[in-house]
Amino acid sequence: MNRFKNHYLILLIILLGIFLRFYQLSGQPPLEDEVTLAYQSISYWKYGFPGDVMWWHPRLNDSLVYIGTRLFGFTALGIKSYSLFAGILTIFLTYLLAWLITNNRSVSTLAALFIATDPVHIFLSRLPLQEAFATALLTVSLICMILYLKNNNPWWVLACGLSIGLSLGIKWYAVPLILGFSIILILHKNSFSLFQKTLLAISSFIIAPFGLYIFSFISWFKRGYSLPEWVQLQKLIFNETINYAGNPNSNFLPHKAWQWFVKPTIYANFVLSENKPYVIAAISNPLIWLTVLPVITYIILKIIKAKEYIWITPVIYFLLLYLPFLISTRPVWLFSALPLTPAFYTLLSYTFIKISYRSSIHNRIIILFLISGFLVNFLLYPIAIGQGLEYKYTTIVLNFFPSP
Amino acid sequence: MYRRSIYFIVILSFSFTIFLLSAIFFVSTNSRIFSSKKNVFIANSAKEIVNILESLNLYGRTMVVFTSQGKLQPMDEKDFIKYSKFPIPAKDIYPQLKNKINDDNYLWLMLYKGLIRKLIWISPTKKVTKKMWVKITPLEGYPSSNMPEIKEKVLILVEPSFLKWKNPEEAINLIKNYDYDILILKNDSIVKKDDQLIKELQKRLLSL
Repeated sequence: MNRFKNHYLILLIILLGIFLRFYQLSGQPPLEDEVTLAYQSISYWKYGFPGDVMWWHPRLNDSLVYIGTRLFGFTALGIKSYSLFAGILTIFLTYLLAWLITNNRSVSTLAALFIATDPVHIFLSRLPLQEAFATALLTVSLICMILYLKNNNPWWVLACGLSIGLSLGIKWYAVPLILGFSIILILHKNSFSLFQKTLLAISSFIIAPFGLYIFSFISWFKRGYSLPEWVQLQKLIFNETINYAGNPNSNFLPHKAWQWFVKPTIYANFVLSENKPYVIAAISNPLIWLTVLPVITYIILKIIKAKEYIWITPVIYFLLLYLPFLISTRPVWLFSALPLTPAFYTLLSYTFIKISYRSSIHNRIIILFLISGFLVNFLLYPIAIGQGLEYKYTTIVLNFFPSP
Repeated sequence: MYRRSIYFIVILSFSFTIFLLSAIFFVSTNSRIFSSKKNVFIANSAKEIVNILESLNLYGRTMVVFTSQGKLQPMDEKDFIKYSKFPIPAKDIYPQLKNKINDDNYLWLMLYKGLIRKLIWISPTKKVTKKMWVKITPLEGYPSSNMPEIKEKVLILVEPSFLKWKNPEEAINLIKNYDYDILILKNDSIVKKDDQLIKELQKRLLSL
């Protein structure tokens, strides 16, 4: 009975997530990037030309936009369908991730609720940008890795590598994970020899992802380019990725990764539609996001002192995705934090639930804290869906951040 | 229990990647369509050059451009982005770009559509200006004294400005360095009065 009740809860959370991601979707006017991405999906599929917008990203995104527009037309649903799908899927994946680590339904339900209502996640699920899909794929890779560590089935490593390969076709977030997961795989004690584990790491984390990654450029190859020219393109992409200096439309916004978990951060865009201005912005919930670094520190201490090794993989996942941004000198905006969310919401949920078990007072404080946190999420929701100028309080919130 | 699976995964990963690489190699090489014989065309406008290449149905080739200009102008496609609400009008940008074709942007347009995949730029200027659009479609610039060796069959485009700079004899000697099947002589307003020169050059090139 209890089990049924908990499953019922995750279904309700997914339904809530669907509602928050689809509500007034067509009424949210398209940003310039959305329009150019729609055109680019045609020019990439017909001519293999990646240059309409963001040429420095790998090209799987164009294919996903194209498939969406073939299915649902050049409508809001068609252009954003893959992000919406990935966003909703990530709610369930976060639930699964937390369940696999903690075996505790309260922790997994809370983690899923965090993702479902997070304004940054909602904002990016409603845009045809790379982050929501990359986040879903990276979460799959983390889940597969944890499943391997639990039951030593090497097929999970291959599944992990394939997810990483697909995510690389979207953006290069997963590059540090290849190294981190390979080390975890090799150091993990089981009946496999070092030689077998090395073979498994090379084939699953290098060979298979490389095949998928290069195949995501198939339309570009149709122009007649050769493999040496593809290598030349990768060098150009690499140079642009590490040296990207942003543009005047976004450089006034906070663009340092250290800010994400230290103060409220924003990523915003502006569009003028039918003579009416719209501000669409993702704002990190200060109540929840500011607890991330203390919680990560607490979990790391738990790993060291209490030897709770189950937390090693999600913590390494978090650190490997976060540290490159932290030390990067180029601008990094809030949207790049999205792949971290399933991992840190799992860690946060576990910590909150654990604290709540200590005493009834702890329990009440945590409940009060969580209610306040979710209330802030819902207050930030209109801003995430393009209604930032519709209410008085939302304009006050937006004025808190720097303007162009 | 799973030891055999590891070797199976290794074989599967390598086979899978080799299969995908073979597919890429097949697609890439089959995109480079070659003409059966040597052809020399005279084009009276930039649009005609694009039309010639489109009608020949040649794709994915390297084009050697003999010119005296030092830069390739990109085209601003932002003109075509008019929007306010969903649905976004589903349109192919290419036909619209083609309507705005001019002497400054036709090479970029040919790169855009994949009619050519690479430009080798031979000009008296040593440096060739690379604009953002050209970054993703390789462009190499060389002075005529140091032309690159290209082993594949190429397309050649001779801009009239090149004939102002090199006499036909010198031009022919430089062109002869390449194995080509299509050569286009651009005959625009700069050398209109030298119509005879272009025809003479065409005759000489055909007899090579």
